Amino acid sequence: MEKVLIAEDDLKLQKFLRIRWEKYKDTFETIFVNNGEEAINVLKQKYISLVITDIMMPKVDGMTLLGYINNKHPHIPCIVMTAYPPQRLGKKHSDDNLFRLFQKPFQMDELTEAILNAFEQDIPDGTLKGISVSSFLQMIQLEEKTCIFEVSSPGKEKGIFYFKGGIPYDAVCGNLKGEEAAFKIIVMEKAEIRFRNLPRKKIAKRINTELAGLIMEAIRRKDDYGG
Amino acid sequence: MNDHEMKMFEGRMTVIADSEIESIVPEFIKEWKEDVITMRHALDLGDYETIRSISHRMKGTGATCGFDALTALGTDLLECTKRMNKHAIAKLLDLLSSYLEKVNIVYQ
Repeated sequence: MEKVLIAEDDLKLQKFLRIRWEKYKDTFETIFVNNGEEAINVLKQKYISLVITDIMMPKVDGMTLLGYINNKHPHIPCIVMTAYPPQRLGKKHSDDNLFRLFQKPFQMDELTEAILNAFEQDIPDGTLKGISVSSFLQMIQLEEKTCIFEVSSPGKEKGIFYFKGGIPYDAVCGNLKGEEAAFKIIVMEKAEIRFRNLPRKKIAKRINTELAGLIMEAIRRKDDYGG
Repeated sequence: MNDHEMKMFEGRMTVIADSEIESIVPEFIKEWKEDVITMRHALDLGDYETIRSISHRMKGTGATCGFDALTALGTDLLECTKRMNKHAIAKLLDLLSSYLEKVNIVYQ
């Protein structure tokens, strides 16, 4: 189930969106928060497929939230909805970082379509099953691939791995990042691997160990602590 | 209704709304009416920030929920708030109040 996090301080708009998206409850789950601070707390705890944010919010505003996502969760697409003119958003968060910008007031159907399109960014039929994660990673390395993929395993948090030119670059699993996340993902059993489209954003390198070392450490940890 | 009201509300006195939001619209109207009272009070106190904040929100939410006139009034209120034009704000709040009393909502 896709999870959409919506950061919006206007409770009326929250209520309106909640009721209008009720009919999509089998496609995506909505999580509403009142400001950027609450959104960051959710992002630290849950796997989120898409973030929709207002700009002007109390405590932590939308710009700060976008900066956080850019840094910590660069794979998550973002939709910004604001009553301010786009030029006031500044260069820092221009088209490179944003998935889509909606000027308030907006057409509800267009926003919903943008959400559904964001989910479809995943490459169709790009799912692999029945292959061990470590074997798959070694194949990516051998082929020197640049790709991003999601690894899911029954009863475990989803993980995301990013390879650049066959080199493990970054990973995210629940609230773990970089190598710690990689260790969790590598030992996932009965894994399902699904490719995602590469984000337009630059992803920071948080993995500094070679793949062989990562796999060995992941297996050692699993043997020592049961994963 | 005077000429100004007629022009502002032309074609906007009836809102065609999706039946799925029928349960929340009466509450929204009530809250917008409360916003008018809050803004009138703020105007008396010269608290333009409160008026700016409420009208900014009204501008964004109004037409999204199908109430185009609220977006138009919210936009005008924001402009008048920037210029701290007390007289014009008072007039717009009267218009807003009148609109919220008279708006006819048809659910489809």
